[in-house]
Amino acid sequence: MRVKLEMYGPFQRFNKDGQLRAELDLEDNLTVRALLMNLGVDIDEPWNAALNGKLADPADKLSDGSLLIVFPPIEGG
Amino acid sequence: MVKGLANKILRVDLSDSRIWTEEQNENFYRRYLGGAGILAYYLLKELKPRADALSPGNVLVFAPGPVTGTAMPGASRLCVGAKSPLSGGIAKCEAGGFFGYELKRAGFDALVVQGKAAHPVYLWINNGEVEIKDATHLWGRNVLETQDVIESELGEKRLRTATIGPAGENLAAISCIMTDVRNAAARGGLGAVMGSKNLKCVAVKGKTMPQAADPEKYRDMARWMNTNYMNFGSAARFHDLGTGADMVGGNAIGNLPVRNWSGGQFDDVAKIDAAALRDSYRISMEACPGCQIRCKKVVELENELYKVDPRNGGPEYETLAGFGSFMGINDLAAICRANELCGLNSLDTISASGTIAFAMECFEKGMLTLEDTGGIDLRFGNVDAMLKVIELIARREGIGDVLADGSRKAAERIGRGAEELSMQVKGVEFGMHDPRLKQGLGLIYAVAANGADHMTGAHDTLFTQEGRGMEGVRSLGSLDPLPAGDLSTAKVDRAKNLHLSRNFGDSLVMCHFTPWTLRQQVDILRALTGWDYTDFEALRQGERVATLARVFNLREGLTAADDQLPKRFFSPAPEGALKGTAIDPEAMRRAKRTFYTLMGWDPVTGIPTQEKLEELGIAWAAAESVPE
Ligand code: SF4
Repeated sequence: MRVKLEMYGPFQRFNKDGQLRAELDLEDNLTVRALLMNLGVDIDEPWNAALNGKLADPADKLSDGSLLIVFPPIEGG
Repeated sequence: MVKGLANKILRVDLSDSRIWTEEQNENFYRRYLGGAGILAYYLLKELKPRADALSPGNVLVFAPGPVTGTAMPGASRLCVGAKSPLSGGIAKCEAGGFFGYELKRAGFDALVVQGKAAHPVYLWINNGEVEIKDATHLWGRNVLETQDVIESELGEKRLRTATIGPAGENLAAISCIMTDVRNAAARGGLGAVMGSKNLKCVAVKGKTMPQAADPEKYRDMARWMNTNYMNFGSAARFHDLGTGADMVGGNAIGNLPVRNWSGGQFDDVAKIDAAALRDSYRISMEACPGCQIRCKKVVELENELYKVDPRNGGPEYETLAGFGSFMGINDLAAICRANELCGLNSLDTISASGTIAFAMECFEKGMLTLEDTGGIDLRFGNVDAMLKVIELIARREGIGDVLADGSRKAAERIGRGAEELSMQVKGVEFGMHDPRLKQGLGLIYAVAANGADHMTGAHDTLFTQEGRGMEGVRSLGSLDPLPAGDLSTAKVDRAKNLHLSRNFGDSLVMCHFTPWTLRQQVDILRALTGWDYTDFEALRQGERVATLARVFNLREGLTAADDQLPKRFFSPAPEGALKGTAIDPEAMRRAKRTFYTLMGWDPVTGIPTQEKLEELGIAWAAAESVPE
């Protein structure tokens, strides 16, 4: 399956070639958590993701054409 | 004498130019600590019930905390508060920069100002010596000019100041107090309180370093944070980008407020976030004393219309969103200018942007006309209108006069159904986070004594999944991640405990961006004072502060009916990630009831019970707890 991935702030460097936006070919049924771990993100650090425009759960499964956006949790300021 | 403290509180009555100091015993400090604790204590003790917020009877408190003035990262802040002209209840803010640090080093745990001077004055606190000085020549000047003039007439460089500009002088209920020109004690209209006292500025210089009971341990802890902060994702992010690094993501999940919450998606978000700012007008990052995180942006720019001076700092997230997506504006230079204009005039950027966005929606819906606005085309997205209206508010001219006391008062004046568009709780405009997404924060927005303030509650999205975010709540007894939109008893309990730990932090006063755990904060306090202080006392301190603030609000006439979110959040979001999502009114009603119960307050009226007051050692407040 092909998935669009946008990674912001401190997460950008983990995206393909350090790009902000990339398209990735992935094995089917991968979860959000598994993808991030494969990319080397320390998933114990706080992060949030939006999968197809909704706050994602780490266990959510990606599917062909999914748009996943990963970013630090919003707080304060 | 308590180690680490100044053990002295400075009192000033401007009506008769009286200056004196007060000493409190050790139990007082252990019971109220500092910051928000000392603020609540003095407001209840010294303000006559129902005194007008803009009368000489109001009491303005500048309270650093026990840790303030030391070289501990995050320990430079102070709490500022009074009775709020915006809400009629308590106004409580924390401000960064060097002012609090310097006030403590000048030898005071707090400054309590009452009365009203016969003419404009400023206070000059020079390492224990205090003078009231004429400020007639400063009245009408902006914050930066005031700083410059005072520095030159006192012959002092690097003075630390708390100052108001024209908005405070003109008693705008959305005005703030600026510390060191570019930081704000923002919420609740404190600038107007200072203005009503004819107090233009408090200037401070201090040299006395507080001494810790266990200096070695204290130094070690400071060193530990300064060595390790980059290992914390949140602190590393604040170091790189400051606040507002997460706006694109916030837009993707529906947190970003758009057009006074009439929208739900902002396509130009990447043009106005902290990364866009880094790549354009940001010239450096600044720190509060002792803190390596250096999260404060400094911007500089010049175009054909205006110049933004780096001495006025730069916009935080609330300001980027408030003058950006919340008004449908994608012009980053104009947002930087709006931030500067607010600072120079001493306007709270959150309430100012919230009120202008409200007016824009009124205008689009025909509740305000060109005639009302004096010919200003006050449409969403109109940058010139935004900048113009900020200045009108500060001067209270034309439409600015209608808006200067916030959106709730403005809606009363406008009528025509405008109150439905006023997005505030207790008159205090919202922080820029959608409570339909973060419903635990929504509950705190509703019940917090100081209104819809974004720093009093923690953000649900930090605790929706396993990982380090959960570490912060596990020690509070919350073991499982919970969805952001959940309002179960477990969520209410978590929101309440985080609210209490924040109230403890605001008593220390510690910056919420330095990644100290509650346990570490307790260890810092132990090393500083030599007390055998415990986590138990810390949470109890948070509870005491929240309860005293509640008692104060009740006494001043607020009730449980004021713990109410605007109707808009109970109807489905029209677009974006939250499309179709609303807060369930029944779930929120239950959550409030649960919150009151868990706090030991009456489940219906929210009045703290006698037993709770006694348990917290504040039985004296009982006389104040029932409204007349
Ligand atoms: S994290 Fe930022 S606001 Fe907090 S003390 Fe450090 S520099 Fe100041």
